[in-house]
Amino acid sequence: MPWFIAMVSYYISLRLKQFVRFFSFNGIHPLIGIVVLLFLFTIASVTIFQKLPYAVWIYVVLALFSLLELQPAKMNVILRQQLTADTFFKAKLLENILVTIPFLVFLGYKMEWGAATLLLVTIVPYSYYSFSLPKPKLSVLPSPFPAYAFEYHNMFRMVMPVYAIHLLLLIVGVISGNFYVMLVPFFLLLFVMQTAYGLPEEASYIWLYRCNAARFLQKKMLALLIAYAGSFLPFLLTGLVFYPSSFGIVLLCFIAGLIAMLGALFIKYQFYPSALVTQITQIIFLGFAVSAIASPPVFIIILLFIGFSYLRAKRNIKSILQC
Amino acid sequence: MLKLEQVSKSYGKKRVMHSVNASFEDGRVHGIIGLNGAGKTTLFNCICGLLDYEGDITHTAITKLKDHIGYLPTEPYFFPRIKGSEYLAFIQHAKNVKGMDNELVQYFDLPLNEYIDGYSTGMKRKLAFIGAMIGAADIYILDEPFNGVDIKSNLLLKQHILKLKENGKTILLSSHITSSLTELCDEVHLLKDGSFAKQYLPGTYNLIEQDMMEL
Repeated sequence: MPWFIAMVSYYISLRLKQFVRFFSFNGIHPLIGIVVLLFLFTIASVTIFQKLPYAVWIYVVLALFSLLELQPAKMNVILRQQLTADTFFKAKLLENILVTIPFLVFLGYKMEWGAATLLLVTIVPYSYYSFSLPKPKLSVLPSPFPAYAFEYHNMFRMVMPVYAIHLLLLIVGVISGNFYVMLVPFFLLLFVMQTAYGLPEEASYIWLYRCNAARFLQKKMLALLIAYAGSFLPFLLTGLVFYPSSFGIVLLCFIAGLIAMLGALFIKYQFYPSALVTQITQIIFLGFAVSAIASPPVFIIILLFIGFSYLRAKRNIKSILQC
Repeated sequence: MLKLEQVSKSYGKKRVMHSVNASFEDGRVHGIIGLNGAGKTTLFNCICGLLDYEGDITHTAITKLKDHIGYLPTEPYFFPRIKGSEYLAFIQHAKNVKGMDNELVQYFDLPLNEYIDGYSTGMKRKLAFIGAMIGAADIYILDEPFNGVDIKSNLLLKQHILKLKENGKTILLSSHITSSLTELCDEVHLLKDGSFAKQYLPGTYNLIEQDMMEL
């Protein structure tokens, strides 16, 4: 096998490993991560083509932008140092084609052959001149309750872009006059918040607490309550002011969401440190909590589960807290 | 006095610590040396209770050891998107400490209002050190505290460790810098293949480097 083929193959296999490890390093099973990513990609693609004018061209630009985002500047520097210009070009070309395959498949599905060809043709010079986006400067974003709710202001910064979308969609919900549009941002933010609670922390971050397991969980619950109330206050107020006749549903959503988050918190410590079991259980539990909005008796089952989960969580973290 | 009796640790079938016995007196700095992988970090994690182990780790005057330990891990982990001040505030709350010691917080002049993600290795180490000092611990476990820190901070670290000693604290210190150990420690233990192989007192410190070369 010629050297450059072996080199390019190795580079691509390395990048694929990085991609798979991105999920496992973030506590998500790679299979679940890839399925969710493909699902979200399909939803986003369908939405773009259904809702936006000039969707094809926006889609091509997005594909090129995703290439830019996936070019780590340091890796390009190392590759240029280690490889000949010809091998560098071939490796990048193959990598960029692999990244754009989902976009090309969707364009093919939409019979947009012209756009697909344009995308492929653009990749060629781009692969040759590979450049990366400058790294943004780390500017400190403010977060509410900095002194107490540690997870919250960490999570708050993580979900900041989603939070902005949440607020924007609330405004759209008010302008459109359609109450149900307002529920979309609620579920979006709830899902993201729950995802943040799906990642187990380092054992030393539990070990640090000088208290027993019950007190530890109380502290975590308090932090969650602050986080939840702060995050969903705009949702609650918007419902109260603009849809007073449907405020009962808003309140029900708010309570169901809070219960779902409490469940997520206890599940996290019940199955600590397993991220995979935690995330799967949390997703199932979220489904039950949401279904309880339509069928309030389900709340009873959920509350029973929360009680059970709390006791298991307390028992599980006792060994770390040594109490 | 901190006592380790027949402490062993295995990962599956692999035994990494073999019946370790040791006594660490209060008001002294105890150095722990050993090659990479000798079991220093495992030993520290066992003392903290972060790892399960066989045997006994007790203190003559303390019942719940965990709440009396200040621990600086060799690779401290920080949550992403957190400011230095927020990290310290978190530790303060977790340890249930009322009021922050401003002198301690400002000890290294760290930019506490910036994200830790932007800190250098040395700055992260200094922040973790301050974190380990928060709360009135009786035992301090410092796993390679001098790694990556600048000369001035190195001196400040040494000063602080000596101050802890003066206050009667028990300090377990690991380092790969022999001079730092011999300068600070009242005794040095050599950890080899998961057990203590030798103990050095100040008069025999000149043998440490020679013995290390022969390991």
